[in-house]
Amino acid sequence: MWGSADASFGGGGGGGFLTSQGYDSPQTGDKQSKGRRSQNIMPATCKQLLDCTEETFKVEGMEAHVVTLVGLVRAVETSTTKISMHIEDQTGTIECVNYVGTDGDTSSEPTMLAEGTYGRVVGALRSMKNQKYVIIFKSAPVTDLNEVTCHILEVIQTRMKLKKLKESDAQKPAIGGTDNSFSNSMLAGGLGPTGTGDAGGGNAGGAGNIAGFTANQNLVHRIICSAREESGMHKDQIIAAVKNKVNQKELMEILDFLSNEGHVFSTVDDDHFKSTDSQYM
Amino acid sequence: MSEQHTSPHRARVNGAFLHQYHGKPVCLLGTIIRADGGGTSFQVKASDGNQINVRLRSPISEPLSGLVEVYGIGQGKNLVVAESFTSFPDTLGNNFEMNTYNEAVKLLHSVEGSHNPWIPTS
Repeated sequence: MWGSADASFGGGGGGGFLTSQGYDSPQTGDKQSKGRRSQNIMPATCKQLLDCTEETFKVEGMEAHVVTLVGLVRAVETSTTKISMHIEDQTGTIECVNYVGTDGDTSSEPTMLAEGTYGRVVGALRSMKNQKYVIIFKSAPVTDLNEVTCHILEVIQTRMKLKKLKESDAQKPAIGGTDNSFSNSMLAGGLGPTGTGDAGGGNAGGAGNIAGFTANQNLVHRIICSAREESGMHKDQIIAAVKNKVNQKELMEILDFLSNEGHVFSTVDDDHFKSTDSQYM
Repeated sequence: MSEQHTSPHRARVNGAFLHQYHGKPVCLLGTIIRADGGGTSFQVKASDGNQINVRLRSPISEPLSGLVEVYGIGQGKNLVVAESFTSFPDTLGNNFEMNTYNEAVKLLHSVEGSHNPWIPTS
C-alpha cells in the first residue's frame, strides 16, 4: 500500500529525490526550474530535523522542503482543529501535526496511526517559538517492517550521495554548467558528431577508456557512466546517443557484453542501465 | 504546540555491538526465545543470532512471541535493561528480513559520525 503513496509523490522509494532537480544551483532553460520549489522527498531522522538551525532543512547543502520519517508513534492527540502525533525514531521525538477541517475536505486528512506502532510520515518541517514540528502531508502505518530497514539505509545513502555529488561538483567547476542539466543534454554536448567523446561529457562521466574494449564498447560504456539519474539510463537514450555510429543490433550485443563483464547493470527494469564504474553511484 | 516529548538518542545495535554501549541507550530488535522469571525478563535472539537477556523494569503479564524491539540501557555484552519495548504482530514480522536488517545495523556502525544521523555522537 505504501507503494501507491510513493507513486503519488513522484519519488520511487529512496532515490526519487535526485531525479527531480539538478544540484543546488539555479537552473536556466530548464522546464523544471519554475518556482524553485524542490520536489524532492528527503528521508530524515528526527534528530536531523530537531538539530536544524536554519529556516529550511538541508542535507549536505541540498534543501529539502519535504521530508519523510519512519518511527514509532508515541502519542496521538486529536482535537477539533488538529491531529498531533509524536514520532520517535530512536534519534529523538518530533511532533507531527495536521490541521483539519479548514477547507472542509476530509480527503486530505491523514491516516490515523495507532500508538506504539511504526508509521511513516511525509511532511514539511516548520518551527514555532523555536520548537520544531512537521506538517503532515501524508501518514501511513508501516505494514512491512522491512520498510524500517529501508529507511535506515536511505537516510545514510542520501547523505553520503549528496556529499559525493557536492565534492565532485566542487572538483569540476569547469563543467559545472552542463552538470546541472540531465544526461541527455550532457551527451549532446559532449559526444558530438565526432563520436570519440574524448572531451567534455565523456570525461565528465569519470570513466576513461578501458583497455580491451573496442571503440564502440568504450563509447557505450562512457555514455552509461555519464548517467546521473538514480535509475541510470534508458536504452532509448543510449540508442539516441550512439545513433549513426552503432547500430541497434550491435548496441544490444555491447550491452550484453558490458552486463556480462560486470561493467553495467540493469536497474528499475531491463531497459535501464547503470555503470558500476560511475562516480555518480 | 503541546507538551514537548523528548527521548534519548538510542543506538541501534545487534548482539555484537551491544557491549560498546554499556550504560548507554540502545535499541535492539530480535525474536523472542523465551520469557521467564515471572514476567520480569525474557531472552531474545538478536539480528546477528546472539542471545541477549532483557530485564524489564516492571513485570508483564501477556505472553510474548515473535519480533520485539527493546528500548533500554545496554549492560555488558548480553543484557539490556529495558525501559519499554514494542512487540510486532506476525503480519508485520513474518517476512521481515533479519539478515538484511543485521547488515544495515553493521553498516550504520561503519559510517563515520558526521554522515550518520543514526548513531549518537557522544
